[in-house]
Amino acid sequence: MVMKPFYRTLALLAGLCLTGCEIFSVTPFPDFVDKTDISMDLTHEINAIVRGETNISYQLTVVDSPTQPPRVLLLVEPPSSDPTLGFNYKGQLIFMDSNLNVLNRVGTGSSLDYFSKPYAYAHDNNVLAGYTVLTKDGGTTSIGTLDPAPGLEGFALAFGTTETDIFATPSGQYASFNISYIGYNTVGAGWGIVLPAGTLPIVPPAALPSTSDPNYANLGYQLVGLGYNSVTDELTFVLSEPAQGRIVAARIGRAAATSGSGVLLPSATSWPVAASAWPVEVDVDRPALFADVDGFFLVRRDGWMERYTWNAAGTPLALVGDPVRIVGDKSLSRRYAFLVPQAGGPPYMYRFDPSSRVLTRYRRWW
Amino acid sequence: MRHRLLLLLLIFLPTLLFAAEPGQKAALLMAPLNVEARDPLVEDILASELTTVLQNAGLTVAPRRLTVPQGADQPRLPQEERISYLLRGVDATGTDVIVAAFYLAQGEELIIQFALYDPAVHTMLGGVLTRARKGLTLFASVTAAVGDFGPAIKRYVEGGYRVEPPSGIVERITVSGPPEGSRVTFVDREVGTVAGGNLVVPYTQFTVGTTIPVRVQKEGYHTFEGSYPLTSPQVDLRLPGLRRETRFDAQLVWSFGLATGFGFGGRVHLVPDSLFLGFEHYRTLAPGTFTGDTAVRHYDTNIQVGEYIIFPYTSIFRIHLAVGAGLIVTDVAGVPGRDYTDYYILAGDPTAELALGPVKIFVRPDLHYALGMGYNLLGRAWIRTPYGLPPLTLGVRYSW
Repeated sequence: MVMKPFYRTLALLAGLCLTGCEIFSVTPFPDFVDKTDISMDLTHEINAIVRGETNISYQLTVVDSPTQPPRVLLLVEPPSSDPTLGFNYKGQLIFMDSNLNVLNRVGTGSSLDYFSKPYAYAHDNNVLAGYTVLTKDGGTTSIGTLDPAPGLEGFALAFGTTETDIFATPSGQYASFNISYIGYNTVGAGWGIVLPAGTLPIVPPAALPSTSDPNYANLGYQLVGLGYNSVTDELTFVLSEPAQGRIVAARIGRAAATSGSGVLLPSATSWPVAASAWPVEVDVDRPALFADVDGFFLVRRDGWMERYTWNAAGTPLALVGDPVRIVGDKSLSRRYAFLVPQAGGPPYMYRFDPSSRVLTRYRRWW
Repeated sequence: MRHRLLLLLLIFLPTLLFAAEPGQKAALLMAPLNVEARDPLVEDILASELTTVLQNAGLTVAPRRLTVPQGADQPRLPQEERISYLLRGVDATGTDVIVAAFYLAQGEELIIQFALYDPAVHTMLGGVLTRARKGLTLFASVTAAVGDFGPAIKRYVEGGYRVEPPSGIVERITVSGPPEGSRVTFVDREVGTVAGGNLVVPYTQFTVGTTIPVRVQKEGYHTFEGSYPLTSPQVDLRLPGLRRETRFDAQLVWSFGLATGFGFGGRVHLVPDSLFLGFEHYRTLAPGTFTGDTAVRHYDTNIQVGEYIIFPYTSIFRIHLAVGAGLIVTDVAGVPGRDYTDYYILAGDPTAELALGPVKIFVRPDLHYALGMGYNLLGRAWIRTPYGLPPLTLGVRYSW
C-alpha cells in the first residue's frame, strides 16, 4: 500500500517524459512534414530551362504586397560560361502563384543580363528582379532593365505607389559598417532615381575599428534581412556579423535611414559592439535568414529551424517571447521561402528540393 | 597366585597367537553357466572339495556362499560371458579372494571354469578350465577337477597371484554434463556417446596427471572444446552443457529517434551466433489529428549483413556490427503525389547485446547515412536528431 503512490508517481513521470521530454519526441525528420500542403514537381519546367546541363543553382523567393497577390519565384540558373560566347546567361525565373500554379517562365532580355536579388513588388505593382522589371505574372515590361543599374543585391521595398528603395551591403564587399541604398520612382514610361545612392552607417564612426587592422575587410556586417512597417514607416535591419558568429538587428525610421545622417546603432562605443548595445542579438552560425515585419526565420546549419518574433513597430526593438523551434533540414542544398501575407491570409513556408526538383508548400508551423 | 596366572597365560596363548596372524579369507561362489541348469549336487561337491583344498592351503573359507548379483543393471549370463564382469558386483565384504566355479553340464560332460578373483581390485588372479564326467563318477571326477585347480590356489597362497593395484594409471573416466547423444572425443579419438546422462569411457591407458583435450559435438549445438587434467584413477569429468546454435532471431525494437513507433525484424544466421543476414521494419504511428496537422507515418525498412565481434558466443555480453541498405518512406496523409523516400546505408550499427538465455536485450545507435536520392526529406547526410546524436534503438530478441 505504501509503494502504490510511488509506482503511480514513477509511471506518471515516465509517461510525462515519454510524451513531453523533447529528447524523446525529436526525430531526424523535419517537424514541418505534418504541415505538408501542396507538392509540385517542377522537373518538366526545369528541364526546359537547363536542357541537360548540370551544376544548376537555384534561388527561391516570395514577393508580397499589401495590394497584390503573392508570387513564388524560382530562379533556375544553368552555368553561364560558354566556350564560344563567354558569359552567356541562361537563367530563367519561374513565376508561380501562392498555390504553386506555374504562371510563366521568363529569361533576361539579353544573354549579358542576369537575375539576382533583390526580388520584390515595386511601387508600380511590377516585380523587381535584380535590375530587371517584370510583370507580376512573369511577363516583360516596357521598362526592361534599370539604367543605370543599382549595383546592389540586397532587399527592395515599395513605399506606397511612389517609390521603391533598395538596401544592401555595399557592392563588392564581404562585410561592411555601412548599408548602401538607392531609390527609384516612375518617371514617364520608365523608372528614375528618386533617392540618390547613399549610405547608412551601422555603428557610429567613433566605434569603428582601425582601418589599419589587417582584417578590416572581413569585419563588419552583412545585411541579411529587412522588415518594413508601413504604419510607423520604420525599417528593421537584420545583420549578420560573421566575425562574431551572431545575428543582430536594429530598427530605425525610414526618414532617418535615408537622410544621409542617420546611424543604425547610435550609442555603440567600440567595435565589436557589445551584445548589450544591440536590441536584438542571436548567437548563430551563418544561418539562412528570412525577415518580415513581425520577425524573422532562421534555417540553422545544425538542423533546427526557428521563428523569432519582435515587438510592434513604434517601440524600441526587442524580441517577444521565446523563439519557436522545430526540427528542420540538415541538408544545406534545399531552398526556402516564407510568406507572411501583408494583405492577410494563411502564411506558408515553401521548400524546394534540388535533387528531386519538387517544390512543396507547408502550412504555418510557427 | 603366580602359578595360577601362568596357567591362564599358557591356556590362552595359542588363541592370542592365532588371532594375531589370521589367514587369507576365501569365499566360494558356485554358479551354472546355463542359468536354467543349476545342479545342487554339483555345487555341493564343488563346495566340499574346494573347501578342503582351500583349508589345506591355509585359507579360511567363509561359511556363506556368494552368488552372482541379480538385477536389471547387472551383467548376467549368457549375455555377459566375461567372468570378471560377472564377479564385479559380488558383495564380498571381508573376503580376500573369491573362489568361483562356473559349471556347465552338457550331456555326460561337465565343464567347470574355476576362477580366483580379488574383489578389492576387481582383478582376475587366475583360473582353470577343466572337464569332468557326470554320472556315477561325478564325485571322483569333480575331485579330480578341483585337483587341477589346486596349483592355482597354491600359487595364490604363496603370493604368486598377488596383484598390486595399478598406480599412476587412470582406471575409469566418466563424462557427464553434455546433452544426450553428444559425441565425445579424447585427443583425436571418439570415445563414445553420452547416454543416460553420462558416458563411461572405454578403458584407455592415461597416466594420472595427464591433461587431455576433450571435444564434445552434437548436431545443432556448438562444439565444446576444452582441456582437462586427469587427477586421479577414477575421474568424473563434469563438462558444461552444450549451447544450442542460434539459427534464427525474431526481435522487437523501439527507437528514441522515432519514439511514437515500434519495429520488428528477423535474422538468419549463416554461421550460428556469428554471421547473419537480417531485416528490420519500423513504423511510426500517426499522431492525433486534433491539432489539425496532417497525419504522417514513417516506414523504415532495411536489410543487413552483420557479424559478432570480440566476444565469443558463450559471453553474456556481445557486440555485433552490421552493414546494409534501407529506405524510409514517409507518407503524408491526404497529400496527393509521391511519398517522401529516403534511401540510406547502414554504416556499422554497433550493437551491444546482453544475453539472458534465448532472450537477448540490445541497444545500438543507428548509424545510417541518407543518400539524398529522389524525393526525400533528409538529404545527403547522417541521419541524426538535431541534438547531433543518431537515433538510439532498444530491442529485445528471441533466438532459436
